[in-house]
Amino acid sequence: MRAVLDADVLISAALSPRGTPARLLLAWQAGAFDLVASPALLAELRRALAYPKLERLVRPADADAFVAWIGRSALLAADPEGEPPVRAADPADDYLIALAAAERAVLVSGDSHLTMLADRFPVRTPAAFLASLEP
Amino acid sequence: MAKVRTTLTIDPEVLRAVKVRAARLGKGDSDVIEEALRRDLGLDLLDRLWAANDLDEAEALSLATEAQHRTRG
Repeated sequence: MRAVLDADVLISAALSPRGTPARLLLAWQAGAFDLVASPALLAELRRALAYPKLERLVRPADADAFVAWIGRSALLAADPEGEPPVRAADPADDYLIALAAAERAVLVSGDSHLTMLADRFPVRTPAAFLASLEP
Repeated sequence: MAKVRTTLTIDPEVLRAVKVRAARLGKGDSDVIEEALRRDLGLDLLDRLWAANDLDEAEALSLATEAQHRTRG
């Protein structure tokens, strides 16, 4: 199974070792699914980690290392040029939908703008996706 | 955690570099290989991040979403 983890999920995993996003990272490392990323997703991750409130929690060197680690460990796909199959309430999320659709991946997000599309597109909350991985 | 024994097939030049590094650092070959793998697999990074941060899940997700939205152009 392939999954695109939204930047909010990846950042949450770094901040909360006991949370569901962290368990998703460990499940990925254990081979439970393949993580898909793209240049735009990595760029958004890098920008968000530089947000002042986050910079106080994740040192810039560790933020850079985190982005580099995801970049070299995930399946890196090109950002699709076409339209997403469905539109998000926030157009800035459309690239994630397009990426997941092009890569036949589940999109995993903690953002209600995206999870509200679950009846029209395979987008899951971290908890729902983790539950789907567990026997 | 208990260690497990395994067998690897690697390039002799890599093995030579492992042995040189191990001798310089006064460590065993296995330690040098495991440390390199932990770095490459991101395990050290996760340990470091999780030692420094222990937010609850809701707080972490809220902050992450805020950061994502506020840094979008």
